[in-house]
Amino acid sequence: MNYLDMEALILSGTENTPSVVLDPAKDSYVFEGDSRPENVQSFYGGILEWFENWGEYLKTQAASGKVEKNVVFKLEYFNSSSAKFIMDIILRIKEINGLSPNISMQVTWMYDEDDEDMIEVGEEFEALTDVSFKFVTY
Amino acid sequence: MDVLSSAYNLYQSMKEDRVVISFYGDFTFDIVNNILIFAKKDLSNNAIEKSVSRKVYAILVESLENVLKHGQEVVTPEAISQGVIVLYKTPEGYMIKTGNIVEEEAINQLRADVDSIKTADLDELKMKYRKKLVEGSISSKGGAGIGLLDIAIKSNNNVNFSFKELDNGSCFFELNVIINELS
Repeated sequence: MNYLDMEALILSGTENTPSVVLDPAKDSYVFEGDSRPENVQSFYGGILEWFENWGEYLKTQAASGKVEKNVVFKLEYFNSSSAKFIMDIILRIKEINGLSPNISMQVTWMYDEDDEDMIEVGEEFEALTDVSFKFVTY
Repeated sequence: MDVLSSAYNLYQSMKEDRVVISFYGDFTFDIVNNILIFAKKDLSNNAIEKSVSRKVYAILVESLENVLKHGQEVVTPEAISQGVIVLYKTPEGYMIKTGNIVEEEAINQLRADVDSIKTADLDELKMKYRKKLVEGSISSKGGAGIGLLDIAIKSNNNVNFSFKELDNGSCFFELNVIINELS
């Protein structure tokens, strides 16, 4: 199984949904923009499924060596329903981490330097999931 | 002054009350989306501190989405939510008020949610929020059930709720949020 077996999930951003790039070929995993979708379940459902598949894929990769992945969140705003799903994504990342000792997952949490709420919620996600977070300003 | 007696009176009244946004009628996603697109631009254009405009925007989203999700007098697949919202400036910052009819079946749960918020301090609110983030699930209406909690936390617990019983068993639910520049 090589990277061609794992499909990319790419969504353009809109006024109420973030752009999503989950691209194994480019080794790039980024969520960017605002999140307040009309239907949170249908927006994030496919994304969560992608992470489950990715986990299985990375587990196979981990059999032959170290696997290090970084998922970037560069969000300006997300509503409370989105927060629930972002939490679920990070929990999936945590699960993937646990699939093999060779797997090392990291989250890069980006924020505007004077956005205290964004830093705080990132720290909450970090504390609640135990995933390794890197905090970076944009 | 009877505000609707003339456009001038309406204009003057809203100007004196320092209204930024007001809307009465059918709440659809499209309408809420457009109100928020306008609000985002308007709040960032004004000479308000970024941290305040961010809080106002965030609370506005949750307040509007609350009416959108729960403002149906009778819940049917075709029912459209109706309500009212106003965002206006105060000497200390901003005020957001929303109102909508809540269907009879939803009233008990809403009263319970509101009571749980009323009796909690900020730290307890954050704990409840965290709990819902981890353990919660998405309801049939598509919400995570944490909107009111989020509003209470972001406004530093400067929120109050009221229920006005209506003749047919439903209730009119009011949500008032104060956003102060210093909090």
